[in-house]
Order: sequence, then C-alpha cells, then structure tokens
Amino acid sequence: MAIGVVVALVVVVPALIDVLDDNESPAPAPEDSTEPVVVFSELLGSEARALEAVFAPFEARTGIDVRLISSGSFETDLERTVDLGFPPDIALFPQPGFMEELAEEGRVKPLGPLAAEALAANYDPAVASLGELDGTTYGVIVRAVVKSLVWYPPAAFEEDGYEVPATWDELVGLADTIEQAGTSPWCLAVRDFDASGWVATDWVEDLVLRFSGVEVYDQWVDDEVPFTDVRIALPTARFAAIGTDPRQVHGGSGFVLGTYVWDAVDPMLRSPTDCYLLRQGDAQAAHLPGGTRVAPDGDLWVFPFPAREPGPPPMLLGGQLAAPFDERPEVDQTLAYLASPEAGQIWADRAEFVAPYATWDTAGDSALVTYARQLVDEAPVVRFDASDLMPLRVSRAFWAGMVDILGGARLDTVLAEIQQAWEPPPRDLITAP
Amino acid sequence: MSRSVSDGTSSDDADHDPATEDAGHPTGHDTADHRLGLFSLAPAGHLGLRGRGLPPEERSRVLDELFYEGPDWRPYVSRFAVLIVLSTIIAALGLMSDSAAVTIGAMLVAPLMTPILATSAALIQGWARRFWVSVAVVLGGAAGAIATGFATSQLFHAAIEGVQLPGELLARTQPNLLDLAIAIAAGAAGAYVTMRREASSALPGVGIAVALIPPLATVGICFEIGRADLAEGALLLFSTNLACIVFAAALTFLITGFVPSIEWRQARSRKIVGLVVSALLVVAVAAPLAVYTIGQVRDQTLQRQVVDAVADWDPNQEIVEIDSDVADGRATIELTVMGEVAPLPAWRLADLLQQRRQEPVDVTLFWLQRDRQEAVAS
Repeated sequence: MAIGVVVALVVVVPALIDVLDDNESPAPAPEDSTEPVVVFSELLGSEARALEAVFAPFEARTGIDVRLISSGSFETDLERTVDLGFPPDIALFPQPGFMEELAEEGRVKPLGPLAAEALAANYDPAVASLGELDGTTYGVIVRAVVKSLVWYPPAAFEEDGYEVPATWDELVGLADTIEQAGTSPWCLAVRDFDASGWVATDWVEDLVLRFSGVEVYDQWVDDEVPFTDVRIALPTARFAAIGTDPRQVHGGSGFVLGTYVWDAVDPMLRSPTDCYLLRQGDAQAAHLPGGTRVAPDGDLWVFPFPAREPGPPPMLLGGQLAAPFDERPEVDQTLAYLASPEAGQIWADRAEFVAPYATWDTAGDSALVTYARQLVDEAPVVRFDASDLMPLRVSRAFWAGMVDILGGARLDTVLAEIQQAWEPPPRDLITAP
Repeated sequence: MSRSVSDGTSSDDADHDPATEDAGHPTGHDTADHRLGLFSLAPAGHLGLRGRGLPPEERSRVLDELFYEGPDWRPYVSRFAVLIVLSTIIAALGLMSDSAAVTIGAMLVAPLMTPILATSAALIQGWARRFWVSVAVVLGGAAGAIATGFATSQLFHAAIEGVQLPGELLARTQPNLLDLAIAIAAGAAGAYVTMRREASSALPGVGIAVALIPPLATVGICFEIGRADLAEGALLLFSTNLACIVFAAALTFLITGFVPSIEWRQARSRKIVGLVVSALLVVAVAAPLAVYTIGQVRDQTLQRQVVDAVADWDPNQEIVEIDSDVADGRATIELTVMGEVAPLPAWRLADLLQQRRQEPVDVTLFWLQRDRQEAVAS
C-alpha cells in the first residue's frame, strides 16, 4: 500500500510538473534533457557567480542543465572552438562586431521564436536593435556597462582640496595640479591576456566622441573614416601624451603595460593614495577588494569623463549580447529566459551593471548603477564601444596598436597598421584548420 | 594495606602532605560517593597491569625523577633552561636545513618530557602546588623554546630566505588526527617507562615518537619569517602533544597503580576533575585537528584530481605548482605549468575538473615557457 503511494507519486508528480511547465511556456519539453546547454562567457570571479545564480531557478524549473564556461581569453577561445566545429550553444559576446562576423558565416543562428518574443516584450526597440544584422536579430543584449566614468577617491580629493572637473580642460588642469603636488594623477593599466589594450581603446573612443563628434565616430566604426584620419589621430595623440608620460601615470610604462587591467585601482586605494584618477567603466565595481565602499562619501566614487563644454557629456556603453549557435528548442528557451526581467533582476542584484530592459524595477540598484543610469539618461549622445563594433581582427589590431603606442611606438606607423587590419585577410587564413 | 602505610613515610610527603591539601574535604563526601557506587572500582591499582600497585621504593624513585624540590630545584632549573635552549637551536637548525637526523637529535636532548610527566603525576595525585609548578615549568620551557627558535631563525635568516620552505618545517605545520593518536600512545608509554626502571631504555623512543621541541622551534621560525598561518599549525601540534601526553600519562599512572589506594580515596573528586579537565583538553585540540584533517584529505583529493585532469587536458604541460582550496562548495585552483608550447585553453581544464567534481571550479593558469639559451665565456 505504502509502496503503491510512493510509486504513484514518483510517476505522477513529474508528469504533472511537465504538464504545468508546458502550460506555462508553449515550447515543447526538451526531448533529450540530459544534453546540457553550454553557455560561454568572459565573466569571471563574482561575475561568474552572479551568472550561476541567474540560471539556478531556471534549471530547477525546466530541468534543462545549463553549463557555464567562462574564459578570460574569450575571443581567442571562442574562435578556436568555433573553428574546430565545437561551438558552445550560447555565447555572451562583449563585441557585437565579432557576433556579426560569425552570423555572416552562418555560425551564429538567428534568435528562436521564444527569445525573439521576449526581446520584443522587454526591451526598448533601439536597444533591441543592437543584436540586429540586415533585418535579422541574432543577439539579445543582456548586460550594459557604462564606460565613460572616472573613478576617484573622494576623501583624498577633499583632503587635498581637489574638485571634480566639469570640462576636459579642467580635467587636464587637475591632473597637472596633482602632478605638481608630487603624485601621479592617473592610474592606468592595460594588460589583459589576449585582449590587452582595450582600456586604451576605450580612452581613444571617448576622446573621438568628445573632440571629433558623433558623426565621425559612426563613420569611423563603419570604416568610412580611417584610423589615419586626423580626426582619429588627434584624440589618439591626446591619450598617448598622458599614457606615455611617466609623471602623469602611476608607475610609468612598466606599471601601465605590466599590470592586470582591474588592478589599476590598487594604487588609488592605498593610503596615501598613489594616483587620483582612473578612467574605467562601472564594471570595475566587480573587481574591487572586499569591503571597498563605492559611494559619494565612500572609498571610491565616479564622475563622468567630461566633454569640452560643461554639461552632460556623451556616454560610451559596452555590454554583452547573448547569441545562439544552435537551434535546439532548449537553447531558445534559455535565451528567452536570459531576456526576461526575472533573470535580469537576479543578475543585477549580484553584479553591478545597468540592466538594459525597458520595463525594469530600479529600486534595488546600487548608488553606482543609479548614477550611471542617470548619466546615460542625461547624455546628449550614447554610443556602443567602437572597437567592439568593428570586426574582431580590427579590434585586435586596435588593442595591440594601443599597447605599442604606450610602449613608445610611433603614432602614425601604428595607426596605419591598425587601418590595414580592415583589409580582409587572405582566404586561406580564414578557413584554416 | 601495607602499601598505604609505607606511603606515609615516602620522601615526597615530608615536603608536601597531600592530607593538608585535602583537609577541606569532609570524609563524608567520599563515603557518599561509595554509597552511590561511583568510581567504586578505585583504587585502580588493583586493575594495574601487574594487578598490584607500585612498590613504595620504586614510587619514591619515580617521584624523585619527576619532581625537583628543595636543594635540587635551582640546579634543575638551570639544567632545564640550558637544555631547552640547546635542543631548540639544534631543532631549529635541523628544520631549516631540512635534516631529519639533526631534528631527531634535538628530540633526544629535549628536557620537556620530565615536567610534562610530572604534571600528569601531580594531576592524578591531586597535588595542586606541584601541578602548577610543573605547568609553569612546561609553559616557561615552551615560551623559551619559541623565543630561541625565533632568535635562531633571525640569526640564520639567509638560510631560508627566498627559498621554498623545507619539508621538515612544513611537516610540523599540518597536524592531523594521527598526531593525536601518536601522542596518546607515547604519553602512556612515557608514564609506563618512567615507572618501570627495567624499561627505561625505551624513554628516548618516547621522546622521538612525540616530538615537543621541533614544533616549538617551528612556531618561532614561522613567526620570524612572518608566516603566522604556519605558526598556528605548529602550535596546534605542540598543544596536541602536550594535552595528549598529560592525559594519557595521568591515566597510565592511575591504572598501573602509581596512586596508592588511600590517596586515591582522599580528594578523589579533585583528581577526577583533573583527569576530566585533561580529557577535555584532548577533546579541545581534537576539534581543530579534525578540521585540519578533513581539510588535508579534501585538498589531497583535489590535488590528485588536478594532476589527473592536467594530464588529460594537455599532456605537453608539466605542473610546476598547484595552489588549491575548497570553500563553500567551490574549488579554486591556481596552477602554474611549464611547457615548450602554449597550453590549451584554461577553460577546458576548468570544464574537465567541474565534470569530475560536480561543483563549480575557478582556475587561474600561469604558464612558464621552457626555453633555452646557450652561452660560452672563455
């Protein structure tokens, strides 16, 4: 009798759950739920833990096994797995340009019906269009990072009588004042394995947006304005003047080239502080030592990277596009979940970023995210990171070129080399292995 | 019982009369215990290994060996201090030069076993003053040994600076439950040998089995080189040895009839309290030891898994260093490999490990390129 009840429960309850699940989502239950959905990303440390938490309720509810694999050398490793014919099921691309290349090759597939529906329901059409190529949507933006920020230590600013600059000239003046007081103003570090140099390309992009304008920026992204154009070369030179000046950057070129990107903040957190300014996006928040308080009166706070004129400056955004490599229904289901505010809320509660959803409860956002969102709302111009929009080979040339410039290479030579990367590579290189 | 009569005239009681210390206890208390049948097996001398208590002359010899009082006190203390300093210097140098033989030599010179056995004897006899004097000697000796270890390390700092810490030293920083069992057996053996003169040739072995000075020297060295985390492990090893010897020796003294039955009846509750307290101390060191042991087993399993996984992941890479930890259901691995060609992507290693362990794995991979340069100078 008791055994009968147990058997009945074992048989009936899962069946019942299946039926309920089917009612909830019109997708057919995955036929082979033992095959996991592999999600590949570049998220490490606390950001990886946040993503694990995002998928926990989804896995419990649907029985789909989501396997998360993260790599610090995302582009190289993804390229290699794709070339070998073993792509993941979903990749979180920080570079829409890279995703588009793979979409053109037919490796990345168009969004399935469920993901497309979730995207339409939850996103502002302008944001949703980021994952679009020639009228077909391939990716869902799941995370937005605000890049045009300068981190600073409020207590040290107050103690030394420094004020948050409102214009580019004030920022340069502040840096000079700090230098004259005997400390390096800027914290800068660009090392990040295969992607070393992206911090410097972010600088240049922000300066192009401020000094050459949004039209030039857009044309530059589309290769209508070359890297060798004076409107790109001059902003690059402005950055190079700071980045190669051993009195302006902490630790000189040894520290700049040899230090891991997210460790650039370490000398700022020392007492007394060894550098006062760090141009870095809100993503830095996930890479701070435990117990660091990010607030206007905390250990660290941010101000917007200023424009030439006072007032809200343009904002540079980055983010991740989740795109499928497979058309299995459970992959579609997983992407649809990623596009839902439910997943976004769990994620945003654990990692600091501006959630890109149109319908969004902002009550739980931290001071940093609230401020970053406000800066984006007020910005006259918002643009996605240019190097991430360019094809991956150009992004790589751009990253590497900036490392060369910081190492003392000639600006015009390097810019000409980067521009050459736009030329399509020889056929046999593309199809290798 | 003739034994108890002659006990009254034995040398120790002239100096220190247990009856005086026990004067506060009404005799009725003891009889009440008898009525309740608690500890009614005492005097445990009847359960002794030979079924009889220790002969009185043997007992006074043992007491002479363990307690130094009156005119014996000053020479004893200076001898003790000299041996502590010398044995610690030998131990510290043996540890720093990674020499097991020298370290064992230090164990034979070490004088700590005597006051520790004295502590046990005083505990089981209920002699408060002798107990505290012995405890003071042990703790003073321990403190002196740590200080000597510190000073020796400072003097010969260059020997271990910038190199990998010697295995002999590290071995003393990771105690586990086996050490506890060893110390209990050795403590019992120490007490037994002390009472049986014919077995006294075994005493050096006891000192080697349960080393007291090397862990203390390790504590001093680790403090000097700024590794408080390692000092903690070595201090735990010493505490384990100390608590276990005191407890096991006290129990052995009791069982083998070192305590005369009349004395056992007097102040019995105080002796039981002493025995219980020393048992509690053993339990107190067993708890962190269990944690250490579980951690060691866990880390060894993880290390083995990493070694296996690396072989499957990229056979061209040789492991140089593994630093691994498990916390909150998550393995964190810092791995340094060396090879002639760049390793395969680290995520594939993380993936392999995750599938084997069925828990999240964080991998940080450092790669050293094995390269070669040749040169000639003539």
